[in-house]
Amino acid sequence: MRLLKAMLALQASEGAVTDAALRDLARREGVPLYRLEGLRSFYPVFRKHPGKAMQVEVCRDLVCCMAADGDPVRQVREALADRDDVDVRAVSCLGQCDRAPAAMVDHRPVTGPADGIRACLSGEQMAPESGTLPSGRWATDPYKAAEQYYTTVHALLTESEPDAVIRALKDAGLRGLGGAAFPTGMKWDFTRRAPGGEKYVICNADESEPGTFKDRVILEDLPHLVIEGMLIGAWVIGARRGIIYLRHEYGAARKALETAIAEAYQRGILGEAAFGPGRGFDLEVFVSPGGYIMGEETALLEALEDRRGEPRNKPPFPTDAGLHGKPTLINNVETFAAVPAICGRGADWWAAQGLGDHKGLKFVSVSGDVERPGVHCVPWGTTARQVLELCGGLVGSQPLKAFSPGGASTSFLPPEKLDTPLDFDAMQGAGSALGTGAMVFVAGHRDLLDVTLAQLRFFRNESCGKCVPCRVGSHKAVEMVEQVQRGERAGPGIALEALHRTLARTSICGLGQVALLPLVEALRTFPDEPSLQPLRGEE
Amino acid sequence: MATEHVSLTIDGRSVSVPAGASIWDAAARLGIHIPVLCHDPRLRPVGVCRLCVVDTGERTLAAACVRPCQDGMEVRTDSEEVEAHRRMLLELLLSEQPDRSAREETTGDDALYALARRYGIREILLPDGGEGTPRGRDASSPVIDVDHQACILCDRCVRGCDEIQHNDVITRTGKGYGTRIAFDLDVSMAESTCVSCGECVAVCPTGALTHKAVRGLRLEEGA
Amino acid sequence: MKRFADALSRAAAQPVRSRAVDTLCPYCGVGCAVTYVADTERNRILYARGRDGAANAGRLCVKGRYGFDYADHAQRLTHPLIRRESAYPKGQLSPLEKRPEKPGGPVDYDDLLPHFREASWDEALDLVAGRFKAIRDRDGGQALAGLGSAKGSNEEAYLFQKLVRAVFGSNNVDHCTRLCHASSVAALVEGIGSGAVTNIVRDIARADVAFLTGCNPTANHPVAATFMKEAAQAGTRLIVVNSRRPIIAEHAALYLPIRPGTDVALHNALLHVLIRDDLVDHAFIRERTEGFEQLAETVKAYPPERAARLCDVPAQDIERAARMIGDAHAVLFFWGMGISQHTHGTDNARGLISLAMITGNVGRPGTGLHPLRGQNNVQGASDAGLIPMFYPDYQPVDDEDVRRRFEQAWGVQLSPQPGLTVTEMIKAARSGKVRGMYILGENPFVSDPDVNKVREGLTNLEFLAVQDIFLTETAEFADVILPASSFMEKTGSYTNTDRRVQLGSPVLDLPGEARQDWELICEIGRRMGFAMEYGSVAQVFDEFAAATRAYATLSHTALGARGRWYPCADPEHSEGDPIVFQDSFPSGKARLVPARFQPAEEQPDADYPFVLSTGRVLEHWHTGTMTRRSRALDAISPEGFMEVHPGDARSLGLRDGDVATVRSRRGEVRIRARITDAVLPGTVFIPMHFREACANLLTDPRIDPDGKIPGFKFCAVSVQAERCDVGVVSAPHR
Repeated sequence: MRLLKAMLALQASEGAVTDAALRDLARREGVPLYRLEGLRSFYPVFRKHPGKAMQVEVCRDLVCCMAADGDPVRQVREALADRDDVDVRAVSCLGQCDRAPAAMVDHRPVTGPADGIRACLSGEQMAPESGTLPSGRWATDPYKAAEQYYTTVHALLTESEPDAVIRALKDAGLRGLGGAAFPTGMKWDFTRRAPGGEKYVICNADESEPGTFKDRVILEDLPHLVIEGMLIGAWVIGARRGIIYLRHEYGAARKALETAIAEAYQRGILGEAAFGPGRGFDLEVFVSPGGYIMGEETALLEALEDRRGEPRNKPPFPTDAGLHGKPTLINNVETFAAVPAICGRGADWWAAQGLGDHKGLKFVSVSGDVERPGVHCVPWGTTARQVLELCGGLVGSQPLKAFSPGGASTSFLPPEKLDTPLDFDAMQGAGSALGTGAMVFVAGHRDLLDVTLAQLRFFRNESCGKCVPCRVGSHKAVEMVEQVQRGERAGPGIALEALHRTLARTSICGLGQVALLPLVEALRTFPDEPSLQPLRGEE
Repeated sequence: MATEHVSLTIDGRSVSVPAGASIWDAAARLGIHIPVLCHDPRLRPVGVCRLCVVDTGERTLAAACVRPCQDGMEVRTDSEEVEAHRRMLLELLLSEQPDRSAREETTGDDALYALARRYGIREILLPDGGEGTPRGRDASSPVIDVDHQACILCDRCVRGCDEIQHNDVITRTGKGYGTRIAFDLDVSMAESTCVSCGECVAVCPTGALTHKAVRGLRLEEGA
Repeated sequence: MKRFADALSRAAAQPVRSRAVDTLCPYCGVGCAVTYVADTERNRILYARGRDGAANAGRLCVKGRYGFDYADHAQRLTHPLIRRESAYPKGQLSPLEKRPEKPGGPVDYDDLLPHFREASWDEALDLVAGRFKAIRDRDGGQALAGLGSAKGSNEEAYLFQKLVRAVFGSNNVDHCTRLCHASSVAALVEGIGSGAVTNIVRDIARADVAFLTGCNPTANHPVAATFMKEAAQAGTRLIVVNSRRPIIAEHAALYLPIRPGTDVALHNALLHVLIRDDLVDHAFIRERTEGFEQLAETVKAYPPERAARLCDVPAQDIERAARMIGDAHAVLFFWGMGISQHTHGTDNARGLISLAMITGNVGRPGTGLHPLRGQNNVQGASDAGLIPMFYPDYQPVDDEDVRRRFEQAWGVQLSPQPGLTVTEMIKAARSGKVRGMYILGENPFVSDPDVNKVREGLTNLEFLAVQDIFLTETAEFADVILPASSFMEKTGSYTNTDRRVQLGSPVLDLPGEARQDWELICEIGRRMGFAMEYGSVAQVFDEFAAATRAYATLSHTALGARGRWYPCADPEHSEGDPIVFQDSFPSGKARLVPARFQPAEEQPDADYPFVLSTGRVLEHWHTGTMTRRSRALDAISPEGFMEVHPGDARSLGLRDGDVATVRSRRGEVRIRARITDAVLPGTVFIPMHFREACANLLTDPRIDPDGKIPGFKFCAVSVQAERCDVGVVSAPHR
């Protein structure tokens, strides 16, 4: 963290991390230049040279393209063509899909179409619209007032034991809510049992997949639950140090977290006697230098170790060998935030929140062609149709063409699957996956080729480049589809399927494994979709 | 202290190896040479080229060079599926190559070419990324030619420079498809702190890093 | 669609028949194993591949990898040459300062060759043998001297010393060890009875702490340095001591930038702290050393505060270094010429020996004493007796029993009088005591201190025969020049810094009429009336091994492809001993010899306010005879330079790349300045390789009383900026 923090500080104060600054840093820190170049060139937040007076970063991904009905980046560039004091950069999903089309002006989130950004630059500042519900309304929060915060962990410390927490998590059926759905109790158990005196607990607050923004809301509204979940985790596994790995675009979340952490320190919840005299726990926020891949937990660890955020080959898994090779518990924001309720109100209470056989509550991010995009906390087992209704249905009551139940890494489903309940297994049974619960609804007038190509481009753009299949394969896939669009190629469907199979089976991490999935699956799921016709066939 | 051993089968043959040994090493003991481009026994394995993937019956294939053997593992190194993926990976790499390899042309030991021959690859249907050699060259060093277009990002030079010779010059720069190797803060090789030990050329499997001294000479080694 | 253009690639190039030969790198003492691939038709090496040698594990540095092409340089000598009458009286033929505009080597042959004529081998050899014989018969054997080379093989070294001793009739035989580690060897022989390293370089992997002083391994032992850096990364803590910050300091746990020439004070203070704080190994001191009380008494006077003032490093750093040494389980001591090349070089080495001994850091894994040897065969040449006081195996020439044995073996009477060292030979040549010299593969005119005096000496010789592969600066003074074999053309064994004896094999054919060095030595002996008949190089090795205990079990066959460390009791089943003296020293107990700090004699003053230190760069070797004729190495490092501290540069009005004049009491050079804070304020550094900016015009010829080594690392100079445009292109530098 030392090097990246120093570089982030340089970027913040100088607007760039210049060669001169890196030579100086290399000498001061006793590290070779190549290492700093590797970092600077990998993380999107760093610039080699300072840019113009104002920086506008425009989201180029699916939901914003849908909202802009075209290329939002080009639209902003055109709108600002006369401004030679502005750098316009295309960036990947900003986690503001509920405010699409989204952009950042000098690192502050703004929303609205291109002329809105122009207005914003000329001083008519637009406040970001809140797509969220007011605080205190979230069903996962067991507390009514701030004074009650952290009473769950304190009760555990005096009245319970770590194994009981693990049992409760297992009984509650909690699974990793960052998309991988690994049983949480089991993960905690592994980390607890892993040999080693030094252990870490890390909250993965780096959600970056197009359509996903629920963690942002949880971090802004319920930071105390995330902190308490981590505290409980630390107590269970025996960690003395925790890190919240936060994407840098989440300024408001950072503020909320840092305020909550400061308060917790003040109250002695965190710090040298967190678990009793001489049994401390320290927690800090590490602001990511950017990149979707950092949400892959081992890439995240690489970043925390001041390396390029390239996912590791597994095994070993972080539960055995994580940060600095020590056993490390890594969970997503929502997972940690669910823990206080489960421990406080009991696994039974949590299980009863679900519908039917389903257990618990789930935050979903809803965006795309819906009336009211936003985050909802719903019982597990709620159907996609019910979620759509919660958001006011499709804009202008259009027909639905497709929906993605779980984010860019999950396949699109046709309208007939709308009654599939929110459940990892049920969604898989329907031919897709629940992923992070990022539901994107696509109205009838859209071309699925555009939609799936946007997802493919996202993965191509965000590939770390470490392994061959993903680095080269995702790029070739984009090129092949673009060649089809330009009429230079016909029917690469079979080739794309073969390429997908290779990426799915041989890539190091999930990014490459799913990069072609939405496109290739759409060919199968939507046999009559006209926009996909030119892709079909064998060359 | 006795070393702990694990037993497994590779392509149906049993083998016992010290705990921690990679599948690649275990296979080599059986005389099975799993194709690989990024690995060299002198280097820390990184598992990035993925050519050495093998089927261990899991959701995804495992890179044999980095995957430790486990007791009871059943490994397939040459199934039809595995070979199809290797072929695809080779095609991906070849689609990015320049027209000629400075290594194959001179010392005749371009490992990518050797594998392409082994897999009988004649033409590649993927879009041609090598045309016009957009990644460029660096001819600044008096002794080493750098052809970025022929680079497959196997990281062997990176490890040769930083982990074998500890000269600490080479890195990956950039990200994703645009990644390439760079020297120091991405300056030319001649301007960098490179001490011309040539380890990068020695470990490079392709025409990316070659000795200038043999340029244009086709070596035919005899006794 | 893209076609895989396999065949196209091979078809595009011009076919060349090549051959791969497993051999060694010809340069430094690390002794890297290498495979050279040669173009058999054009008799030139094309490229190098690292071989899995014991010392290099496949690694090479720029010299081994790219510095091989000197062997097919157009300036190779291919015919015996005899000085023309018109070229007398003798003197230097080429201007020293001139770097020719023509491509090629540092010496412009057009200036030189008109002064020589080609001769037949018989004429040249008869002339050499006849003139030496005449001098010997007239003035006695003491009037002849031979200067051999640590670049030659063990076999050549053995034959050369035999020729001088048995045929010339004196012990006036020496080689460049005198200029590099003579003082280290003197201290080691005095202390433990052996001059060889106790532990191999790669044993650093097992050391908790490594003490690296007066060495710059990334430049001078680059492949050894890779193992040091590797160890540092794996947890070995390096203590680096130097007055010019070496790159290895970047990997150090502690770097002590000491004032030049104050090593004795530092060593004494370290000993002081270790004894004061009882961080010593009492059992080891009791059982394996003698003289501890005397040592403890002496170092009492060196508290860290005193050393801090003398060495100009913080006292707490000295305390820390001592504690790191004292607390470690295993400490390995490496040193280079920053220790040995001083007029108190032997004292410097004595201190290091004492440090290792009182902490019990000898004879175990990860411990020991390792003077990093310079030349590829400086260990072997010394083992083979290429030194004036010893026969092979360090058997003293003034020991009567020993002499009798050699007289019996060689069938001649031998001189009981120790011979002249390198520097003494030059002095004797100037005074006329030495009248004839045979110089094989050395270039004292560039390598020795105070070159102007060397010029006088060489000019004053009645007869000089130079045997070399190029017409060196020294050969310009020769009466006869014998074209010989380069490393790449010969078979022979070489002993590296680790005591590893390895075989080199011929990669190339001899150019023109050039002949094998060993045959020429034998020819001269034969023509002087002494039979030196050998069927092969292997046979020479056998005779040498029979006279040298450490090699007694070895033969060319036993050495095999990878060589053996000596001693090696059972070469068939063992690689030899990487660690020696586990239970006792050749001298029994180690002798601890205290030293008192004495400042170097030529201290800076108002006229010569800077301290000059000389040394080497990664790309070049000694006097550049080989490396400056390598296209690659010359391209990377084309010219000399002087390093100066930024603060001094400012007060001198020097900008980076400006030319300065550097003067000492003995001479002056013009040289380009390189501004760097690697050197300390008040000091400048000049590499020794560049004849046109010859550092040894400046150096002080005063020598160490025991090792007889000159203090290349310390003399007083003045520096003056020159506003100039000499039209030399500045090299890119790091």
